[in-house]
Amino acid sequence: MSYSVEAENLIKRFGKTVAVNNVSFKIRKGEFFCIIGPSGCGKTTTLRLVAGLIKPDSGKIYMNGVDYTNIPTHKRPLSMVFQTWALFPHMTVYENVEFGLRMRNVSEADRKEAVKWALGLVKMEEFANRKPRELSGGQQQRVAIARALVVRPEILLLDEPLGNLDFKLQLRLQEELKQIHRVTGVTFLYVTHDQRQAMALGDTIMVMNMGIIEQMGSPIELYSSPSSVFVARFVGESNILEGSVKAVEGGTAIVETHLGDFQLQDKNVRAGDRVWVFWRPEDTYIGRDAMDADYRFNGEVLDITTAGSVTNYKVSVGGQLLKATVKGLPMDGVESGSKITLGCKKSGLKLITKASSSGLADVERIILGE
Amino acid sequence: MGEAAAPQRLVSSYLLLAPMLGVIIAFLIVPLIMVGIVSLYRPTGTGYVLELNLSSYVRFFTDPNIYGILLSTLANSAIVTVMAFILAYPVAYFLTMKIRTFRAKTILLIAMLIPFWIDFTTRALSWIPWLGIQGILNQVLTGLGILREPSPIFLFSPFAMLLVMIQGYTLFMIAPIFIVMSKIDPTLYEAAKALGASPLKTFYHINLKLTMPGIGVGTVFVFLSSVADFATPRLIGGLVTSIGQVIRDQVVFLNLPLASAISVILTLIALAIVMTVFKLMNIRQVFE
Repeated sequence: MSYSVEAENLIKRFGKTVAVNNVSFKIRKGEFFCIIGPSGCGKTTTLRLVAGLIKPDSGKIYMNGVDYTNIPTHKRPLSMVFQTWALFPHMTVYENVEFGLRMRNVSEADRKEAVKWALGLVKMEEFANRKPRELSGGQQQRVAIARALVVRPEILLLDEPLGNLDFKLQLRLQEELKQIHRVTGVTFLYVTHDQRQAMALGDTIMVMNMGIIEQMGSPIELYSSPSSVFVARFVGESNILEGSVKAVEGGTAIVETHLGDFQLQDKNVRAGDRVWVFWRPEDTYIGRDAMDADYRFNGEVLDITTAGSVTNYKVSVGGQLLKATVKGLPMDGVESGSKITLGCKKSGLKLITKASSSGLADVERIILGE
Repeated sequence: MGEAAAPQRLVSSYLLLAPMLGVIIAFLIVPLIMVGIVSLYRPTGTGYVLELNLSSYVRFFTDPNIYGILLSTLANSAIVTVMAFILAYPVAYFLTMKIRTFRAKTILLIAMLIPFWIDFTTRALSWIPWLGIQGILNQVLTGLGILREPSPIFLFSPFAMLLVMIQGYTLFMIAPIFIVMSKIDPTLYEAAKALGASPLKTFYHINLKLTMPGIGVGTVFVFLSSVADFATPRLIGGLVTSIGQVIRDQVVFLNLPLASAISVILTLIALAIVMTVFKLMNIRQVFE
C-alpha cells in the first residue's frame, strides 16, 4: 500500500499549550482526507506540520515513503489553498496560476498549456487577465485552487478553503471540489470546522479535539458508530442520555437513565460504569409510529421546523431534550406545546463509553467553542 | 430639499479646504509662476530688464560650471538614495518580519527618531568630533595601523557630506518601506513557499515586489531632500558646491533671471523623477 502522507507521533507545542499531541495517521494515494474539529483543536497546526510551514517538536512525516520531516516547504511535493485564498495582489490571474510553474522552471510553452488546463478546470479561463481584487470571493477561491493544482502536486492541502464564502456558494464549490478531486486523482488533505463539508467530501475523516485524534474513519463509521460523546455531538445531530450500567447479563448491559432502563449489546462494560445511550434523530419514532417502538417516552413539543422533505421535532421529555427527524411535512394537529409520544428501537441504539478521548468531559463547551 | 443639499455639501467641503488652498496658492503656486516669469527676463549684470528672452536658459546649458554642478548634485543625491535604500531595507524588513509585538515596533521606531529631536545643523556639526583630523575615526584607523598618520579627507569633504546626508535621510526611506511592508498579508509568503518558491525567490517575488511602492516613496523623499539640501554641503562638504549654492550665489550676484532659470530646470527635473519613479514602482498599488 502506498501512502501519500504518513504522520508518526507528531507533537507540537506553542509555549505551554500542546497544539498537537502525539498524532499519527496515514493518507492513501488519491484519498480525500478531512480533518475536522472545533477551533483550537489542532487541525490547522496538523496541516501546517504536513506543509512544513512549522516544524514538529517530535515525530516524523513521510510522503510517498520518503522522510520529509526536515525538508522545507518549497521542496515538498505539495501545494496549498488557504482560507484567505492568498492570491498575489500584484499579479494577474494568469500570473498567479503560472507562479508555481515558474518556480519549477517549466518552459514557457508548457506553462501556457498547463495554466490553460488549470483555469479550465475551475472555469476561469476568461478571467486570466484580471487582477485578484477584480474578482469575487468565489472566483478568487477558484483561482487559488487552479494555482495549487497546476503544479500537479502529490498532495493538495486545503485550509478551510470555503470558510469565507456564503452558504450557497459553499455548496456549489464543494461539488466542484469533489469533481476536481475525481478528475485529477490528487490526494486531498482538507481541514474544516464544518462537519457537513467533511461528511459530503471526505473518504476518511479524522476528528480532532484538544490536540489529539478523537476518532478516524469513513463518514458512515463516524456517523453510525461514534466512539465518544464528543464525536456523536460534533458529527451530525444526536440524542444522548447519560446513565450508568446497572448490570451486565450475557453480553447485554442494562443501563439506568433518568428516562428509564435500556438494554444494549456490549461486552466491554462493567456494572457501575458511566455510559451514554445514543441514537440519531432519524431513528426516533413519533406519534403513531412510536406505538411499536421498544422504548417509549411521553413529552411536550418545544419546536418544529420543516425543510419540506423532512421535519425536525424538538421534544422535552422530563426536562431532557430529544430530537426526531421524520420524513415529510409536520403531522396534522401537532404544534409547539402539544403532548406527544416518542419512541426508539433497540436496533437504533448505541452505547458510548466515554465523553471524549482527550478525557475532557465538558463536551458542549468545546463544541460551541466557548 | 434633497436635491439642493448635494451642491451645498460640495460647497461646504470646498470651504473646509479653502484655508490650506489659500496658503498653497499664495506661497507656492504664485511664487513658482513668478520664478517662471523672472527666468525669462534679460539679466543686465546688476539686475534685469523686463524684456522676454531665453538667455538665462542658454547660459545654463552652455556653462559647465552650472550644469556640471547640477549633474554632480544629481549624482551625489543618487548615491545617497541608493545607500539609504541599502541601509533602510534590512531595517524595515527586520521591523516588519522579526519584531512581533506592536509595542516593540513602536519602541524601536521612536528610538530611530531620537536623533531627529536635535536640529539638523547641530546634527551635521556633531560629526566633526568623529571625522576631524584628531577625530575618533582617525584615532581608530591610526591606532589599528591602517593609516600611518591622521587623514584630513574625512571631514569637509564629499565623503563627509554623503555620510551626513545618508545618516540624515535614511529614516525617510525606512518609514515608507516599513509601512508598505507591514501591509503585506503574511499568508502570501506561505502561499509562495507552498508553490515551490525558495526563501530567496519568495523574498524577491513577494516581499520586494510588493514593497516597491514604499521604495518609490522613500526614493522620492530621499532623492529630492538630497538635491535640495543646501546646508549640509556648506557645513561639512568642504569644497563641494551644490546646485542650491549656485542658485544662492546668483541671487547674491543679483542675477535673478539665471537663479530663476536654474530653479525652473531643477523643479522640472524633480517632477520628471517623481513621475518616473512612481510609474516604475507601481505607486497606484498603495491607493487600491
